[in-house]
Amino acid sequence: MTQLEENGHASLVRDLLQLPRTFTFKRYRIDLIGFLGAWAMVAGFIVFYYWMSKW
Amino acid sequence: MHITLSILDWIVLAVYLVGITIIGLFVSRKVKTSSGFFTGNRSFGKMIVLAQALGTGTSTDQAVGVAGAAYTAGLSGIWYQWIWLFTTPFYWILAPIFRRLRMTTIAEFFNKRYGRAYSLAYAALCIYLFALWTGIAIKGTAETVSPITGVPEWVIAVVVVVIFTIYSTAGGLVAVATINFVQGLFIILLSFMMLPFGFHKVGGFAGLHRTVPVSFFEVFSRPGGELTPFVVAMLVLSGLIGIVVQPHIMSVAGTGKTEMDCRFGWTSGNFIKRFCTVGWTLTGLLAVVLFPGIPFAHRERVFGMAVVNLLPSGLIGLMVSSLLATVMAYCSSFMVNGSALFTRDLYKPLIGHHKSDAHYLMVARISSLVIMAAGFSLGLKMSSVVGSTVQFISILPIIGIAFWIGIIWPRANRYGAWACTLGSGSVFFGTKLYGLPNAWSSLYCMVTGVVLIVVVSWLTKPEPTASLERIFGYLKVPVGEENLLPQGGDEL
Repeated sequence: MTQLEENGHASLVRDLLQLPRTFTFKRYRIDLIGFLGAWAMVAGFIVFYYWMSKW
Repeated sequence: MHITLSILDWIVLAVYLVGITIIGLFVSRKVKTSSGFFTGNRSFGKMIVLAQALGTGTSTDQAVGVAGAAYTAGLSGIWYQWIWLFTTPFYWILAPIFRRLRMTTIAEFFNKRYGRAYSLAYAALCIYLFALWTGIAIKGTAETVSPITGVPEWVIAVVVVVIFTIYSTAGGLVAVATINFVQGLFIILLSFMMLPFGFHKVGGFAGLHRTVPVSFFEVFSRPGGELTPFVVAMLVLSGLIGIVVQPHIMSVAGTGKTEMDCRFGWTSGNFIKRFCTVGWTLTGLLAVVLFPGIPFAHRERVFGMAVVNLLPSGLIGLMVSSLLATVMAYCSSFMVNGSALFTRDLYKPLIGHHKSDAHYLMVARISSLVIMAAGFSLGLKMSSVVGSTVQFISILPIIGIAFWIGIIWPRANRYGAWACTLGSGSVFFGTKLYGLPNAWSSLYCMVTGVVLIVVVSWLTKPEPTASLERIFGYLKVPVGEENLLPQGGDEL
């Protein structure tokens, strides 16, 4: 682990098979926050589209 | 020839075309090396990566195709493009992978990971895909713009090709990315410009609901319809597996200055595109009221008809500029990426070893011209824009599985990769010949691919440690800590 990886820059994709052993929120902080934020955007898009279909 | 544009429209169009050519040539002065031509020396900030993602990922034919699909399928027509909505969050976590590989093309990854033969086959296929994509985009644009302007399709195709060829050949990715920043604004304009005029004409959403059948407001088609949840799910899965081997992916996701530039730019550029897609769908729905009775085979004409019938003088010129901007952003990027694949992954290893950088820059410029010419020829032979789009999404996972497994499982090897690609390809095309629908063929193809790469890799010898170190060692080192890279000498 490099210093940046220890502090949130580790990659969920690269470590996918080792995640049960390596996972901590701190280590994957940037991946997790952005990924979950992007899914929130997806949910927002779908809610908006459903709402629009009922206008 | 019947010209329908006003003088004001022609002025707007001329200012746009001359303007982007000048900007493109101006920024081209900075390009002195092949690395600058292919990757912009990995110096792009967030906004340029965003514009690059939006411009490279958006083509006129997509707007035309989605509007046409919405004309016959209603709001569910959006899924032709929104299949990528569910893949977009993954861009956030994939961007650092592409940036950390520190490579110019995906073919370079395959060369290091699975050997030269796999890399050469991928490069050749992708150059063909670039030509095909360029052809689809040019055809879609020419078909749409011709009825608006009264100018023959072939003239439009030639003008578009000449302009983006001038700046792309001169400035490579630097010119393309800079101009995409301008083109991005035009893409947004294109998506929403007609809606206020259309809604005014049909009496708003209330008017739309009064005239259009209820089924057209369903987000998914009913069972037996064009886009069922199963079809959408299979398209999403294929899209996610295939996106990683799109031949231009490295130039979009791997050219930012930092990993955050790549993450933010790639993800948000694509979210902007998803939002634009809503505008295209609504345009198709408005056309149901405005232009009833258009046969299924001609449904892709409704976008152009909406432009002519809804927009006032001046704005038609702006819309035509936007349509041209979209296709030029898209094709110019493919041209540069295609030339990178040819120069670095076919020409350099097979013909021109140990030549000067200036020589490779010249080869890149010439090959970009040839790829564009091939795309231009193919474009004249396409039958349906939407049909061709579905075909692409189905083909890419055949290779995408080998990439995904290749970055998460070091034990995967070249024998497994070949077995995966050939096996899943055979299953896909075999089931298609047998008459199975695209979605079922994709499912069988993906399952076969995963099983084959795992089983065959287990049964054969692993890849050499040195090759694996070039991939996995680099993936461990975030951008900014290059002093920790396992080996020197690579272009970063």
